[in-house]
Amino acid sequence: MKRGIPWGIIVLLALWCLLSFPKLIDPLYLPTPVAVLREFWASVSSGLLPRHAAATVYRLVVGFSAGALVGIPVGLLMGYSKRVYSALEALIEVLRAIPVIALFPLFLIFFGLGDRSKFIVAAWSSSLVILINTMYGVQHSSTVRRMVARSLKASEWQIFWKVVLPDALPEILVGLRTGVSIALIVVLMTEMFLGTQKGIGQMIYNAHLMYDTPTMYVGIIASGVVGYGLNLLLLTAQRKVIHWKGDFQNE
Amino acid sequence: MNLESNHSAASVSVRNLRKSFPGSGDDQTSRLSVLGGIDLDVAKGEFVSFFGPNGCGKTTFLSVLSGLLPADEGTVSIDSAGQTHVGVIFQNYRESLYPWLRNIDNVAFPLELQGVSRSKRREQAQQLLEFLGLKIPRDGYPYQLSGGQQQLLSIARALIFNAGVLVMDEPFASLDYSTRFTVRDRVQEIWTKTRTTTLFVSHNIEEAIYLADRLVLFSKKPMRIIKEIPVPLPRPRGASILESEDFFRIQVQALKVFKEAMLQ
Repeated sequence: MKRGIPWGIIVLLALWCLLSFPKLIDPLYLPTPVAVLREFWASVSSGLLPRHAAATVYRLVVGFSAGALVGIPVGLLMGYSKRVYSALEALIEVLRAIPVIALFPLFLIFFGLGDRSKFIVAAWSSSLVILINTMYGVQHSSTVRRMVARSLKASEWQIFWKVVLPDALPEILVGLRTGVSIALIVVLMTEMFLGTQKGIGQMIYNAHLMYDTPTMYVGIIASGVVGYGLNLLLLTAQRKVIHWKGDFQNE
Repeated sequence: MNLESNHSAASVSVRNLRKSFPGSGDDQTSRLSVLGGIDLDVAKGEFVSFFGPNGCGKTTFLSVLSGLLPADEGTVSIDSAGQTHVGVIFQNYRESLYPWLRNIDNVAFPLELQGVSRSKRREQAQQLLEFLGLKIPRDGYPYQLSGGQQQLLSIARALIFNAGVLVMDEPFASLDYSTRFTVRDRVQEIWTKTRTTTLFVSHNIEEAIYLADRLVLFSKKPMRIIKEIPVPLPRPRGASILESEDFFRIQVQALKVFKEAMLQ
């Protein structure tokens, strides 16, 4: 696929230059791109930014993986079995309605101020969206494909593993991508306020307390880069694994 | 797998087959009768076409025949030397193949279900494709193929399953007009080579006669057989047969019977 010119980014950068160099906006609020870039290199070379980013990515990956490990199997079961679905559907809807931030203090009591409670919130919030997408994928998998397998005398177990699961993969991948974005939000949020010296969230919040706006922007951009990177990783995996839903599929 | 002869072909015998579904109204006791008592005998290796009005219950009939739906009453017996598998070819070719499997693995899928090792089943699938003369890239994926090729791939998959009977539910209905002709002739070729008993449903009377040894006409719901018309045209058949007097006579007779039944 040919890529066009990313006008959006160019315009945004131009606007930033236009507002910051003539100091139309107080540099305390909006430092120049040069100042932010200088700060960026400084924090990279001092090892500060990599340390913060590593802490965030670590929490994100552990929490998100745990969320996927719970969300995918439960979603598969709920999608495939009407009994499991009716047993769990109401519960999942209730849990989904509670903003995860409301639960955070509760997790703190149970799991303490350390990383464990951060893993749990990330896992909690990502598992729910992964679960819903997985369930949807199974429920909307093709009945013709199942019938074909049934006509070929496949066992129920074979139909599940060899037909329903691969058929639901595209939706599962959508769930994973949404889940990782949500987990990143939640991890950053928890890093801002509680019991840690490391993490991009902590870096942004500390810089905010000291009116060190260039560092704040560095943190904000770094969080965006982390989110974009993870999404890109999953997107690449998606293109590889789900090749049949690609651009080149002729209809 | 014995491809060269019709050893695995089965005869089919249907007796007083009935099937109804719960009615759609508020009245819980009313039932919609779809199959109103069908008797049919199909010989080993015979090609029988079914022709009937829209929504007359053909798909229900085929589902019962292939064991995907239970009958309310009556029996279906499929007889051969121990082979009772029914291979189903669905109308919707886009959804009947598995897009995550390579073409060769789609053909070999029934063997995968039976636990045959990967190299063995690929070899068998390759042999079958060569025997059938299907030039389909083995390592490609179904979505890269034309609709007609996809449908032929489904047929190959049913044959590797050692189906004694092939059931085709409007297999050409989703194909474009020009593809239908080539695929039709490929189906004739495959049938001539394998002599697998074939039950073929079509909305196209010309196509139904062209392929068949016998044409079976169905009534409206509840579905019954109105008439069976033998098609003693010489084989192999080509486009020229469509202009022959015999073909024309059979078609006129079939349409006449069909129209009379619709007006009742």
